[in-house]
Amino acid sequence: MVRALMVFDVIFATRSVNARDYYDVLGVSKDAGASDIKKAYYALAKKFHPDTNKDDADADKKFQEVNRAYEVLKDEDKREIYDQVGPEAYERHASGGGPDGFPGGQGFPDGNPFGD
Amino acid sequence: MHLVTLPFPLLLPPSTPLSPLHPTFYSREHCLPKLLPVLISTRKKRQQQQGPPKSHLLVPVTPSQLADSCWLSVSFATFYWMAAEPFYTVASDSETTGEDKSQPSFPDVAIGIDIGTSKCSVAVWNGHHVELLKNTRNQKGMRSYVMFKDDTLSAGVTGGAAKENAHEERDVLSGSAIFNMKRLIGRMDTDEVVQASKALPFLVQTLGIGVRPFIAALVNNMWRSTTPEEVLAIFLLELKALAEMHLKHPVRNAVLTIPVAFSRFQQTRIERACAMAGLHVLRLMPEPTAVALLYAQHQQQLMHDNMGSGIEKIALIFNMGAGYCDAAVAATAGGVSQIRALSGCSVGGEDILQNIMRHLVPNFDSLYAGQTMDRIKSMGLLRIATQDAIHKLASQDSVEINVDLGDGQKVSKVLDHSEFEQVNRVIFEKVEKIINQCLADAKLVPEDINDVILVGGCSRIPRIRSLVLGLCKTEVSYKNIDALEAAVSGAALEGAIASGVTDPEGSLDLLTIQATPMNLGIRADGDNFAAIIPRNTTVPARREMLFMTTHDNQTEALISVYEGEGERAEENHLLGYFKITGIPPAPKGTVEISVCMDIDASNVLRVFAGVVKPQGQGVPPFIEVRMPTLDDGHGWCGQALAKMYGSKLDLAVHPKKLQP
Repeated sequence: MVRALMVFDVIFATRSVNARDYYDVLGVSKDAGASDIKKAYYALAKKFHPDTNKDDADADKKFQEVNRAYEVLKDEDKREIYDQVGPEAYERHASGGGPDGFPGGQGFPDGNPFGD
Repeated sequence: MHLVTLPFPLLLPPSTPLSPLHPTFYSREHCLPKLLPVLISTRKKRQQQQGPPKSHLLVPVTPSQLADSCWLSVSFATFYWMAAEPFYTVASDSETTGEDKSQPSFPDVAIGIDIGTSKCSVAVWNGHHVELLKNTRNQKGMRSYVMFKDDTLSAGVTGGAAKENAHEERDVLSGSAIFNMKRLIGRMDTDEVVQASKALPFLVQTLGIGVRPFIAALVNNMWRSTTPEEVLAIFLLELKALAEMHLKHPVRNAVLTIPVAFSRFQQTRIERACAMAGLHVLRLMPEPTAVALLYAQHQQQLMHDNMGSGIEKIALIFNMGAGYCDAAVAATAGGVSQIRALSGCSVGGEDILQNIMRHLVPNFDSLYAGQTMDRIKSMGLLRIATQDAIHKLASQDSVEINVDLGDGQKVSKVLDHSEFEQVNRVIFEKVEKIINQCLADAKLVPEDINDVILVGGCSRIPRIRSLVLGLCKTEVSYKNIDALEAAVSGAALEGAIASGVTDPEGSLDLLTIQATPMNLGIRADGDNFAAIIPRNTTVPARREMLFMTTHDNQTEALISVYEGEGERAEENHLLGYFKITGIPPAPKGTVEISVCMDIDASNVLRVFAGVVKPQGQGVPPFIEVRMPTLDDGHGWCGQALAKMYGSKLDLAVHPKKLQP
């Protein structure tokens, strides 16, 4: 498979701790229909999956990000919540599964080794 | 490392006529008669030198070189150490000359293997399509067993090869053959599947303490011990020789299909058996996902032909063989097969068979308690008659069973569908549960399913067909797939793709996005199981969860990693354990410990754990552990840990869970 270096790669390489907008990840507009989202996902999955990118050490990470975005946007309920709160709050709340029991409610501890 | 001293038969010198490798069976020169070929890729750094591929060379190799080979198990090296004759490795020039892998001139393509509980098949991408290989008896589906006879061993691949030695079913059931390896491998003696295996003609002995069972085959009226891994390795050796005979080149790599219900520990046993047979496992694919890949290829082909728009199609794949039953929901578009949900259990044709045998002979257990020669023979006759009746019931309304079991025991009975279904009611209920769980996990209703694909030997049973189709609210199953060849064909496709083969016509432009079949997590909150990577998470995956100490000034924490569906830790498979030490003393609940699990694209599981609060120099480094670490006796270990430490090293799930 031909590996086209696109804007995505550059963004991924410099990705900060903050979550990226899921629509940007899939490269679709905010009002994209379900079939556009699916189409974008399958194309990106093939593009970024580690099996088709054996030489790219970051393929794992890129694919997981595409996948995370798709998991949310393909599900109407999740997508609605996401549209209201945005990526960072969505990830914090969706994964928390309970009230944020800590003062300040900052969520992630600093220096978390996995907080990429 | 645990050094295995291998019992019979792998300690036999290689000159022992292991049938497929013995000159009497295959005489082609590439088959390396007499000496077992050790097919080791030395994987030297590729140089840029170009040149035509040369023939394969035989190079002497020392046992230490063998032991150095990264994938070679200790046991295999031990075996060769014991052998007095010289060692050989098949070195291929293409390994060292930088020849482009995608060139068909040296087809270093991984073969696809479907090791069934009852039957096995092997297939390979031949440059144009997937081809199933046939043995000398012209069979594509070969009976999975290994026959132990005096000093010779022969597996079902050749079936005893020569006509006068040909094994018949009654030989296989004589106690001298080990079969159903796939049901026994990697299981503890407390496992109900192992307990049920005591109704097999060979010896399965259990102590019920959570270690592997003792199995043995009857050789000259004596039980000779072996292990499921060893039996599988012997079988795979024959299979590999068959593939090499067809392909006329050494085979190193393989993609194998496994049941969805296989634990990661069982997967390591399969890998070990492959290593013993000189095969490197490129991938272990859950059986229905291999079928899904074949479906993805079909759909892609159809789209090309019809110039379609590439819409997503959803298939439910149901697979039931002799030992296992599993289901998958896969979505496919543009050659990408995305596994949405997987479910499976260890229920299969063997259970149906045993149910019917017990129904025909109500005093089955007392009659066959203790294996004497007479009882083994009698049970073999009953098995053959029952098997035959079940096969006939697939196409007729009722079947008459008449069999003389000897010693005054006779069975004379007419069995019809309703009785058959009544006797196997529990099995059908389990099938129903598997399908419903799979649909629910995929968050789909039956109407969303475009195609229902039925594969495996048991999918021929009318009740199974009607049950699965009924649950999916359809009347017909997908037609273009062979129920017995689909899984191995999918494995061969994956083998070609994983070997880097491309097809100009695009028929290998495929991708499988796998999902985890079972929850992965650790023991926390007492004896509970905290799932960190829930089942049906897309792979590769990385998930993290926060835990906290449960005692004041707790300086150590035990991380016990489990896999499974049970709510309590002990109901699941223990994969391994390790301690976090040097935790700074603090009131309970204030220290935060992060446990992160990572599954990469090759399905390797790594666990990272360490203290994330407090922070600073006084905190120990994180620990990274590749799982499973347990080699054997995993039932024992959980109990031993509980006895030794109680709740002293326990952690509790932190209310502020973390997941990326």
